[in-house]
Amino acid sequence: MSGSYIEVQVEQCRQVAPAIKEFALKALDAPLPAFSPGSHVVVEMRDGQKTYRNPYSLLSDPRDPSAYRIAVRLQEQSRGGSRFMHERIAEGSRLRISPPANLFAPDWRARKHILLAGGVGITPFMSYLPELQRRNADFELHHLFRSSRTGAYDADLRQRLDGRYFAYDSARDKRCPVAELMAAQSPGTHIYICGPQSLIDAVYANAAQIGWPQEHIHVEAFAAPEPGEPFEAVLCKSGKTIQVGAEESLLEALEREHIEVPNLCRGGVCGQCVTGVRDGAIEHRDHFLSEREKSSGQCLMPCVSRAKGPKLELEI
Amino acid sequence: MRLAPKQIETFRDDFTYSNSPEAIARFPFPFPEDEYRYSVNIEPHVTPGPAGSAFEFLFDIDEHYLSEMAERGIVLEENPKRCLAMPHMDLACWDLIERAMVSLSEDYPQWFSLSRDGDRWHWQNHLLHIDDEFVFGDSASLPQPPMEYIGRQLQGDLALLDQRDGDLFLDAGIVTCPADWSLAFDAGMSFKEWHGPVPLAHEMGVFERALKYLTAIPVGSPVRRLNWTLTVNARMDTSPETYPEWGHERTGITAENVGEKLHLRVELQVLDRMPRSNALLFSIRTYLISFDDLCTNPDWARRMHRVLKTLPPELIEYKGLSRYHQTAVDWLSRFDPLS
Amino acid sequence: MNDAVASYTVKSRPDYHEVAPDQTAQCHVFITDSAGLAQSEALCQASPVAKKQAWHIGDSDTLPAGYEAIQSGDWQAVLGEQLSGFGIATAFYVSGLEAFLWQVHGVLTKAGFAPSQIHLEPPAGNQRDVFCTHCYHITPDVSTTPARCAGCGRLLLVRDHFSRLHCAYVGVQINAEDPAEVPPTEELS
Repeated sequence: MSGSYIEVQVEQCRQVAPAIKEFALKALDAPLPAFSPGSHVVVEMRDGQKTYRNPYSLLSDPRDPSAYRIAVRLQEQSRGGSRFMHERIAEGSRLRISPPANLFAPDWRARKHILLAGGVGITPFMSYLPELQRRNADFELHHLFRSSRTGAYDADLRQRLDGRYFAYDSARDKRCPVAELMAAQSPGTHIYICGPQSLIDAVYANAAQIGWPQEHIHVEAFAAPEPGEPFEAVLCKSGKTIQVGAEESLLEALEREHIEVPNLCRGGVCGQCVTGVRDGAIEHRDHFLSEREKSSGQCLMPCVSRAKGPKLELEI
Repeated sequence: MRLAPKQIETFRDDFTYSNSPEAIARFPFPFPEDEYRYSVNIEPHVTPGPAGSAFEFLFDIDEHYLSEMAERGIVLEENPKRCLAMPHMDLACWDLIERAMVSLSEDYPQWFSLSRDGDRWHWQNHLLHIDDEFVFGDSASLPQPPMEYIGRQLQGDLALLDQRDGDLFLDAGIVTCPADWSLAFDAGMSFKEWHGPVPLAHEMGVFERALKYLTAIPVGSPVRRLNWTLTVNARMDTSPETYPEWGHERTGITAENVGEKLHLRVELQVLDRMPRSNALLFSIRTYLISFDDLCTNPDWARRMHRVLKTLPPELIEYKGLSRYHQTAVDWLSRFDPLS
Repeated sequence: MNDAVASYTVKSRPDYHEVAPDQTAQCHVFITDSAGLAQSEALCQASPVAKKQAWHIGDSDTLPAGYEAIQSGDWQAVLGEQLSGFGIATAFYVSGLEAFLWQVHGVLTKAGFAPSQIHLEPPAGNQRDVFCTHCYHITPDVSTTPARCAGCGRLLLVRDHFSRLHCAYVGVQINAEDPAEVPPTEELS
């Protein structure tokens, strides 16, 4: 993570859905900076020798910097971070967070905003809502969840947003009609998606089919890195060799060895951590590099991408 | 301790502008090596920087404060369109007001003070005898539009860049001392468009790299870079708007007057994320020093000679130095033992 | 300011490519001025027979079949009103002089359409609109450099630096440094 950390203390934590916990964070020394809708912070969790760093959207009102709120879904395939937050963090716990950064800001030129949230993907929109309402913007929030696991803030949103809120609980077999929803929109409508890849793919496929403008689709795509096969990374410039475990990303392995790589999203989106590759086959898993850059085999995004074989030689 | 601002000097007509020995000593000389080369050369603007230096605080207030604010007033009176803010930039302008007032009052408590009670703010600028109460975020509660209001109290040009689709758009600014670019014409342009006329750099991929870096700047981590050109006379407003008034000065450089008339013009450019709007503040703080004053420092004199001598022809043309480049190199050669 | 026409390429100058009909669009709209009429008609005939609309902007008595006329008066407002009937998945094809292309582009984006839906054909002539950096007047239909500003009368060097907002290239007084210099007039590209 680039820049300076902010020391915070957990002021409150509560269960907001069966698998989602919300944490309110208060700064210990300086006041927290104001932020813009759609911002996230990277939370650093120290677990003995191990350090987890996960990005979480801020879900409080951007005009109220007295505390930041984040919500964490317990991942069944947790690599440690979300489990740590759920099981080890309680009121009074201390954490370090990055200053807010924004890779998912609303486009204020839009005539109408359609927010599509899948599960814990509701979080970035929680900071959109107060600002959309203050500006009297035209918007709809479509919330897709499974009430046995997710569905945070459902009752609260229903009450606050009234006719602008649409809930789809798959546990009750309610599905969001994405194609009809898109076809019904007027020019100037923008769609924002935060949710599973299947939802994102469905929106893009539909857009391509009916000639819906792609620039009006905004995606909060970053997700935690998926595990893979362990491999060896040879750092050509420093002459070091490090082992990357199955459960950790290359970026995390580098940080474990105190090698700082600039980064922001830790999810293959922002492009900050791009690293040169001298040799070795790459399994690209990011949304940043172009197809041409990927096939050149000369660089990768260590936050999500890995070796396809036993070894990678890096230009660091 | 900083030198208090001097009485008003002029950047036009009789050009009474001058640098004190202290101002010369703190001049942000921009060349890290003898040969000039293009690079993104961006570094973190960590404050406080060295005490008394141009890098000490987020906004550098120096002995020329009153003179520069008076000059800005003259330019805006002649042409109010040198300041603009598109309607969607209102929140960004308030971000800038907060950033400026909070840091100025903390960094220079002898000159500026701010007290806040929720959204009710009380601002005092003792140097300009300003004492205003207003409601934060309510543009109607200020005596001028927010960009003009704060711009008239900060040295240097300011632009607010709206960030959309991974690009930056020049959607607000107050630009009264530019090195030959027009805010009125460049308004609304994307990052690459408004850098369109810059030679060489596009081909080198400088702007792709810079844009990737700039769009990712988080709140509270400003960065800076130095840029430079040469200016005949201590003229702050070298804008395209007023070029018919100052263009002829470029033909007046002779071997006899180089030291007095030719000035190194340095821009301390700072980029800082605005928290509420996600806009990027681009502040361009301009410093002028005559070659005579510059050459009181033998290291600077020698290096200035080498940089100008090795400057690529495209840049000589782009920076508008063609008419006196050779005269300047010849004059500077006396300070370079290798020439 | 440069002494001669810039010798390097300026990146703000738009690139134009030959336009092909967008096969996915639900509706196709063709907009042209008089200069672009032939180009527009050819493209209109080549595009799929989905829902179509074609407008000619300007004062002309004879129009090809299928083209409706919008008088040149306050055509931008008239066009803007006409657009309200079109869905989000509409493709636009604009033909004509360069300034006209970007004026239409401005009307369309203001109406909420995205740049990827707006296909600009290569300009139908070398005429440019020129923004005078001294008086801010825009002089239309300039085909040479230097050119006289219709606002302040100064002789302007026309540069390749283009503003999509003003739909114009920048013009800067050519002999401000030395009034004795009057460079030869060149045809613009």
